[in-house]
Amino acid sequence: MSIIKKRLISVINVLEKIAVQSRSFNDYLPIGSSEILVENLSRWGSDEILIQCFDRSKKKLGPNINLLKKITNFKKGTPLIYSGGIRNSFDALEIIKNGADRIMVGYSFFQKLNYDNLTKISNKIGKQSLILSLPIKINKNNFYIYNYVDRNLTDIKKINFDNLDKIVSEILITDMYNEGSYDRFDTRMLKLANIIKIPLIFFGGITSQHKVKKILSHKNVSAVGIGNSLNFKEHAYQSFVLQNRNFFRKTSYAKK
Amino acid sequence: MNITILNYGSANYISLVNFINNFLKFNVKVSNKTKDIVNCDLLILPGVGTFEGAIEQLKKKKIDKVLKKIILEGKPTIGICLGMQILFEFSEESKKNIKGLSFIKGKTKKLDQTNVGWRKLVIENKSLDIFNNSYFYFNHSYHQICKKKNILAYIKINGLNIPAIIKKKNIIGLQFHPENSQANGILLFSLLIEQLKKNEYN
Amino acid sequence: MQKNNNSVFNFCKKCLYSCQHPLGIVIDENGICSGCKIHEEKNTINWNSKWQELKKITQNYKLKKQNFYDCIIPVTGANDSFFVVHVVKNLLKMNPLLVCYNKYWNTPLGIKNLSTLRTKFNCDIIFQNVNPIKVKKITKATLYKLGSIYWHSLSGHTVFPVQISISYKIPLIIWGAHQGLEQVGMYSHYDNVEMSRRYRKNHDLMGVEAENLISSSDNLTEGDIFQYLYPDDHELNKVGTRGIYLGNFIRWDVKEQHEKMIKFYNYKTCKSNRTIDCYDYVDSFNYMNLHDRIKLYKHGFSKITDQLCREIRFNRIDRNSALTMVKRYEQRKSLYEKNFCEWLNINQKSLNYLLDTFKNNKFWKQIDVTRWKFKGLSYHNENMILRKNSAKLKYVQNSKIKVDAKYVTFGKGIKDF
Repeated sequence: MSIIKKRLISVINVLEKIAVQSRSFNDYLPIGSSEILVENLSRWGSDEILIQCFDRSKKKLGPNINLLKKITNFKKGTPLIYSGGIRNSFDALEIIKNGADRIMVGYSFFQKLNYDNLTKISNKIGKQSLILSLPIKINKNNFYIYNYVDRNLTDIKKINFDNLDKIVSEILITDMYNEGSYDRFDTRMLKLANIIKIPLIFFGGITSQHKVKKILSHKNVSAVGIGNSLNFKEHAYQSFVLQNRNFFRKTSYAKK
Repeated sequence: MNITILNYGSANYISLVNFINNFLKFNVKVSNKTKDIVNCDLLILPGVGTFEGAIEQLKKKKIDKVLKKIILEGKPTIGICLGMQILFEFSEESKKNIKGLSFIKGKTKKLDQTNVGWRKLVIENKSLDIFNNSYFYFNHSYHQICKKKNILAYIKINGLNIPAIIKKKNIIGLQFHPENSQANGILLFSLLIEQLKKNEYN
Repeated sequence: MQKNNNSVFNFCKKCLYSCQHPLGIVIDENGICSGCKIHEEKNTINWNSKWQELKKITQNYKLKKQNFYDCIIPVTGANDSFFVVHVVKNLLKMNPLLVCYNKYWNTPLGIKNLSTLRTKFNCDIIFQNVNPIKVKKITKATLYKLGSIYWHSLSGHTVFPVQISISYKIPLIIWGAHQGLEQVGMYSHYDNVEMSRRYRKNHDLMGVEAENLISSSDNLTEGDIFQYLYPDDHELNKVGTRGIYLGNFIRWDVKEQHEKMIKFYNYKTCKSNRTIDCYDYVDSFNYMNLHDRIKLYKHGFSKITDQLCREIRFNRIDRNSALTMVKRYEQRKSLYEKNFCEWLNINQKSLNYLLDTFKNNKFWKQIDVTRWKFKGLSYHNENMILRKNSAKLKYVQNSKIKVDAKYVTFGKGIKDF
């Protein structure tokens, strides 16, 4: 009887042209080239790689297809999720055509254009290739979705998740406040896994074995994302997997 | 070896092209021209998008007739994910109840939940034994139901046995994405191509 | 956020860096760069507890019997070598094996300093001397393809310790400062960043590993470059190879550290033509000369800018005076190029012509065949009243390198120093 393995998603945040370390999406430190990061994460055997070009929507720039084209040569057999700047189903198709295996649509897109446009994309590329990103802030034990482009908060109770279930395969929940911190992910976020039927991915300040265990023990959680800490040590990804080996697929150390 | 990846709409061809170019070093082109389909040594039907969308594209460009002819004549063919689904007869994904290419008897059913992630293969066929319990990347909302004799490997999801590798003579169907399965993907894909070349029918 | 418009250079308000930095840099909405921001941590960190952390980490690698090495220290005849060996041998009381990649363009001072490292610190050292014919072949290839003469040295210096770690089964490698952290604030001191193959490829080797050199070059083969190949993940994991940076645990101040090493261990220093610093690169004929000229062509600023940004952050020089110094030194003549041309067997004119092709047109505007206008960082930096250097920044020079000095390709060791 084998347990269904969960995924450990490597997250790369891209600001303008460079990959950065991010703290609460407010403070950034430069890391370097996204392509070389992708190549390295692929060699480390990352389950999936998520590229977040998080400044594109705010700057009204559309998806970063040039970057995607470069990265495609470096991903060497690893599934790639692209996010950032998606405006319509044409953008979604362009992203898939240029090498991404799945795409993630930001909340600002969803909030403005609602279910219809999201459905259009889902019909074109398939529900399995579509993820919705919901950055969450907790205020007085209530959950709010943060739209960083228009800078507003929406009570999560206003979202019709039954509708969304037909359109997206997973939802990425980011703990906005603790993103980039050393292990301060707010476990109250796990209540969302009870409210929302759609499989969830959690991200934002997740670094310790204890937190990962708590998060992945929940039936409705399919994956966790880690970001900054992947850049601090050699084999950081494998160390993470080893720490929580019952949840993740076996580690790999590539031989020549 | 000349490989043609069939171009039928909204698919991610680049991953597959890079995969073949970087790791397998075969000649590969993406095309929907009859001569490329007929003259290739191996035909690949890739998969992103929807069942209806794919079949409609094939019919529009009249490729479905070409495929029917050359595949039934024995052209080595590998269908990946959606590319595998269209080889069958029916799919629950099609609301208009459009028929698939019907090369293999069986149908496509909807999964309760999208299956995304790395799953262990249970190998039924001895020739693929080294891949027993190896992980491959799956990303699909539908699964196949077909005859046991056509199933070379399956995965277990929520008590259900889902076919992962299907074979009928010169046609192989893969539910997972070998181009996204890192080292295992490369090894398995090469092995399958070798088997198709040698015409191993088990 | 960052205003990254080609016609407008966005500068840090504190130091001299702009948004155009080869390592990548982020300038926040207040106009302060990530390098200056991370530098501020040096003034607020509890360095005592950091030191305890370091002791705890290294304790795990110490051997009960001092009958083998418990760590590896990569050294050169310059940079932070003396200080790192001093900390590891004298303060942490470890038993290091020193390793040194021979870059062949060694000054007599560099050789003297290396000799001192062995004798005054009582350490064993292993040198890697890659066949000079291969080194020249590789350098020609990297010069033509990447506009870099230093590729082989950076590559060797960063991979040789890792190879020794694997063959001798000594997992711990101890480095000095992390260049990305110190220059552009790539990491916080709290991240405790360690050595990685990815950083080496991206920032030390300009995105080109040895494997990539073969595919992009017509006449290099695997036989030419195998010494520069990074060991695979499997081997690294088996030995548990790990590289830590002392700069994460000690308040790193290069100038202060050098001056201590001069005082206590007679570290040799000398003047340079293209900078006011006398300490950092005394072991190489090319780093502060030809290599520095190339840096100015490609990146619009040279080493003196890096060194003075550092001094600005330590409040030892103000921004205006630093800019004055930069403008005074960065266009000065690059020396000993004749030696390089002889070594590589190329013509100085061909070299100049080739290097012109690497001039970045963001920073260099061609006026005619032989004339160029420099529009690099110091040109675009805000117009200020240029002042003489405030006398605070002084450097100790205790040696000289003769104008007609030759490369010391193999150091035979010095008797008296």
